[in-house]
Amino acid sequence: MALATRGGARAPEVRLERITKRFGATLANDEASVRLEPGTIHALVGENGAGKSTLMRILYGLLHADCGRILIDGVETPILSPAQALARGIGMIHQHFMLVPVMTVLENIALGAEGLRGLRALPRARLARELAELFGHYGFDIDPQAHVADLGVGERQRVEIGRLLFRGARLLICDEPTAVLAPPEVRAFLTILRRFRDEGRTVVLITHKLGEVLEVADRVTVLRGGRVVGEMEGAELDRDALVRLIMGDAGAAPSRTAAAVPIGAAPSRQVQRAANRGEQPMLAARELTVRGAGGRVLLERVSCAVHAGEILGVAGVSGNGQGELSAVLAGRLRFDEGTLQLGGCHYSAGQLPDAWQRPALIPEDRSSEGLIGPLRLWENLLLGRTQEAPFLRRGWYTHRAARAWARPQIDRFSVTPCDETLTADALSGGNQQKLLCARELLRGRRLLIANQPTRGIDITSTAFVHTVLRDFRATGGSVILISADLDEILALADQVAVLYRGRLGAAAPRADLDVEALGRAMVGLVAARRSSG
Amino acid sequence: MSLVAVAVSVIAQTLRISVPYALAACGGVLSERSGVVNIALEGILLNGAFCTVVGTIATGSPLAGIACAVVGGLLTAALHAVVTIHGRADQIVSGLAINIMAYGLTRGGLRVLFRSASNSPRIESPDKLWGAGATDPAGPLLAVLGDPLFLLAVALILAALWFLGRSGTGLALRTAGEHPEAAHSAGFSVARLRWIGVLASGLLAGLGGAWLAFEQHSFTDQMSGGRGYIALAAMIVGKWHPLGAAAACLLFGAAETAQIRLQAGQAPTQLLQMLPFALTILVLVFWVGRSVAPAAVGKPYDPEHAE
Amino acid sequence: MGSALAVAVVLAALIAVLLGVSPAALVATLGARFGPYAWGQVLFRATFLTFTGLAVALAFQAGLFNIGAEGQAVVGSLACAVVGAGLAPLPGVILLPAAVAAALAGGAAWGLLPGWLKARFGTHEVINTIMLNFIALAGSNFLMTRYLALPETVRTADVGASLPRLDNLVPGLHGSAVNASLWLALAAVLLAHAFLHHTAAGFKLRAVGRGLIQARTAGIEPGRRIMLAFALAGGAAGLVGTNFVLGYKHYYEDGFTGGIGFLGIAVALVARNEPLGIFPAALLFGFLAEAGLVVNTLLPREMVDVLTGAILLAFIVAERLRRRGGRDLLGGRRPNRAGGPEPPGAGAGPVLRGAAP
Repeated sequence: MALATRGGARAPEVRLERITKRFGATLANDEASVRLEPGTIHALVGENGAGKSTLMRILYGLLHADCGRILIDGVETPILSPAQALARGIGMIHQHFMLVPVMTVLENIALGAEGLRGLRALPRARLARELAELFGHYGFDIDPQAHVADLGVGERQRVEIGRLLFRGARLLICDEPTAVLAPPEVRAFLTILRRFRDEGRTVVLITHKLGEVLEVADRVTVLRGGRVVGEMEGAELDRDALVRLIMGDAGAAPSRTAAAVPIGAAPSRQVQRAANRGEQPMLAARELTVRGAGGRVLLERVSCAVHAGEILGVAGVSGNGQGELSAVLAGRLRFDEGTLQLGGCHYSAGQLPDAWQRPALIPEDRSSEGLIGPLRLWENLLLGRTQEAPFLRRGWYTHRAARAWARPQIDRFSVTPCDETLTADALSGGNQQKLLCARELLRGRRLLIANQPTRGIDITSTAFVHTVLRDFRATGGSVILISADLDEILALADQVAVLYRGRLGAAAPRADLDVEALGRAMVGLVAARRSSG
Repeated sequence: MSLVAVAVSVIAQTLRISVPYALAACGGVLSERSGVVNIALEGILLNGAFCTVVGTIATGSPLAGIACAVVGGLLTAALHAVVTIHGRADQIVSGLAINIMAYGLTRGGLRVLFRSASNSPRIESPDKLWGAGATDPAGPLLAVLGDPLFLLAVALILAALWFLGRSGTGLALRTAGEHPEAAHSAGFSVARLRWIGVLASGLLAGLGGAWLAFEQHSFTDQMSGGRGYIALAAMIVGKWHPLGAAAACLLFGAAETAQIRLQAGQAPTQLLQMLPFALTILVLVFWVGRSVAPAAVGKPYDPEHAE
Repeated sequence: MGSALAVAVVLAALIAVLLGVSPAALVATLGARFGPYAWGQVLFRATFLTFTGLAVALAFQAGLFNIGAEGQAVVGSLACAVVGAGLAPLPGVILLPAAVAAALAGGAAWGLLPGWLKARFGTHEVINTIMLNFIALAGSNFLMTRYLALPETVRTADVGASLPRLDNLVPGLHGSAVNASLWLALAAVLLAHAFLHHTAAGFKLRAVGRGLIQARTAGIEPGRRIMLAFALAGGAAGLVGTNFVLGYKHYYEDGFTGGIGFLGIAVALVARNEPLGIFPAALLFGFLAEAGLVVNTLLPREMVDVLTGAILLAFIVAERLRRRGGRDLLGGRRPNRAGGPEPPGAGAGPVLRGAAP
């Protein structure tokens, strides 16, 4: 049977020796060496930007190393393209899926497979049968004729895996695979990995989540600043040691993994005061519904409220309506039903608040929604604040005045390098996020909507953003924090609600939370809560 | 003339007018589906027409003229491919620059080779495969259907349809236009796929130019007259699908037929000349949101700098 | 600009050699025959190209492709001639500003059309502006033959006042067509620079051009910026009328615009869409056109078109190579590109839909 020969053979032993890779001025990999033993789950850990992805992309032939070599079963093998990697049984699942949404599962998997190139017609019926068999074997519940656009995130990931298996991959590289999964899905995924290992394949798991590493990895390689700084295996695996290796001299900074978070802490006194006094909430949404193209419901009867001096956390896996929720609560998207109250003013369907009434918004994607890369830092700070900029004289400005206005703001928010004439795309992710915070918080609004404010940035910047949010709350401001990072929500929020498939569950105070139930709710395993008040 | 004869004549004329549009639009489909915007279709039509005339006059054989049109179209498209795929420069500007060059080259060639500022000597079309008596009411239609170039055009459009939808390389080409990283990750060379798309558009539009030249039996200055641009609109209306684009071209062809027939009447010439262009704008307005371009079209693919 | 110059020289030499002409002979001919009159003509052409170059550059700054400068120039010039002739009895001090305003308004109106179509419906401006060029040319032809042309001619009536030729000031330029609208062109360039880089409105326009989604998220409404950009661009193109009608022929005739719209694209790109670079770039292409005429005996003058296209191609490739890391025409980073002109498609729906007013 085709399935047996595909991937049944033992995985090769792969060694990367002294790989060095530069991107312009940045040294992404610095003489990194790793040995990948067959039949193991090998974790590659490190902070964002440590060079894990780059290293594996070199192995997969997507990038070419400047120096160093790759050895497969002891033989030096240059891999110059993914085609060559696949031919040697090396496959990769990327952080951002390599799937074409408008095509079917079958087409996506058939792309480039052996004997399926060239001008001959694709044998669709045969492929459908083989795929159904493959999926059944691993327990993936996916219809080969479905369009990828209709599949959920977890299902798309399984299609990606299925594609590699179909091509006979014996070494699978997974780049941050659980970043898009909710806790129950993560467990299912890790089980699949163990199964691959038991079949004799090699799995390389690139992750920054230590909990998963401790759970499944046989060996761990730690990268920092592009260099391999440590290796561990089996019984030696120890969380604290790993954290020390990852952070280096920074010491044991707060880990972003599923560490124990005190959730019994009392809610902030200001919340009690505001809620107890029966004060009007800063924002109150009632039964908001947003429909998209073709009548598809994007947000369904969403209700929530946030008071002064309070952070409302909205937990949820990416793709459940976070973008629409943040846009509609921030007054930038018209809704179709329901009412929205912002700072005392009421808005009904089809209405939008005026510019000066809208809350501040930190959007989800800082580079495509937040900052304009080619514009300078001072120009980005000016974005959307031209009404309020003090250096404007009847609509005219000089660059010197603008820069003088911008400089202290950049400094105050710890953006480095502190040069307002740099373009925004010259900054690192963490600094870009801090710049965004600066722009939004300095608008002087009392309400801030933050959508994934610390995604993909380094620990120090994350801590800074959290401090900024806490300070904002302490001065009486309100925050709606939308995040897929449960730890972040648990660390900051006073009230927590779960967003799943466009529906927002009732908010519960942090003290009353059950983290397990939260995780299940994030994948919809808990029935919709009783309707909110 | 009887009603049937009139109807046949109108259909035949519509078909004749639609051919260059359909060829160019189908070429546009192949190019854009692979991810490359091809504004140069106008220039390729012009170059194809010019090469046809030069080839036919030089060798005395219309078939040689067709071959020259193909070569001219491929060369022009190759220039666009080099600039946009390897140079990774802006695709729209490249197309416009090539059109400027085509205007200059053909006008200069017209003046230098044929000593005329407006048109070349007359050429004969390729022999029809079957003819009909002049009095036969189906005559005009049979003449079109018997034209070898027409049959070639239909065959190529159908071949493009099959290629895109059914073959493995066609699937890869579509992926290059939707998600080039996925194509790369699956083991294909995005550059090679896009070359196929662009060269195919050169082949098809070059033949479109040949058709234009044979229809008018000569080359005249700027004879492409905006057809390349209208073909792009037809491509959009046709949802980037070979048959859809061809159908949209039939629509534009019918409109132009109507314009020509009405022109013989009372309505002012220039206003009717505006018709195809105004129609294009209106059609695009109403087509908004119903037709989605390939997701990665227009963006150069640079593997080293992909995320 | 320096690189464009170098590219131009190299390509010109290449074309010459390919056609069997020695570059040395070209240079010699140029040296011998390129006198003050020719330089005056260069300035004359450069005035046209400054206006159309601005028309393209202003639109590019907002992330839009304005291929319609030709049609906008036609409408503006026609309006200028009609007003100039219609107000003929009035004194120049009233008539001239009125005619200039007409040129501005005519071009702006024709530019506003594709701007409005894009803002309201989301249809792509590349095809729309090209279509509108054809429509403008046909429409002008229609109006001329039916209503506006003087009997037995293809021109309109003379305008009542005109802009003085510069050869009054500089006798050396004698006979050449360069006129006071040159000052207008230079003023337009300075105003455009001030607008883009020192006003809030200009800032918002540039923001929309480099990051439409980001600008909208931050509260800038893109639809109005797009229309403003196209109106300004169209107006700039319309000012072409001041050069041809008011300064040169004193009437309007069809066909004078031949290709200056497309050349404006070349000018704008070589100037990297910055107003201050437009005039030097316009001089470059103006010089090429005039040089092409001067060496006509050696090289067919149509080669100038070929040269222009080739320069444009070489320039955009060189620019891309210069900026490794893939920046598009406005410096946006790819593949994470959220700004700069997009390719034609049916559009994602009205730019305003669902967004803030």
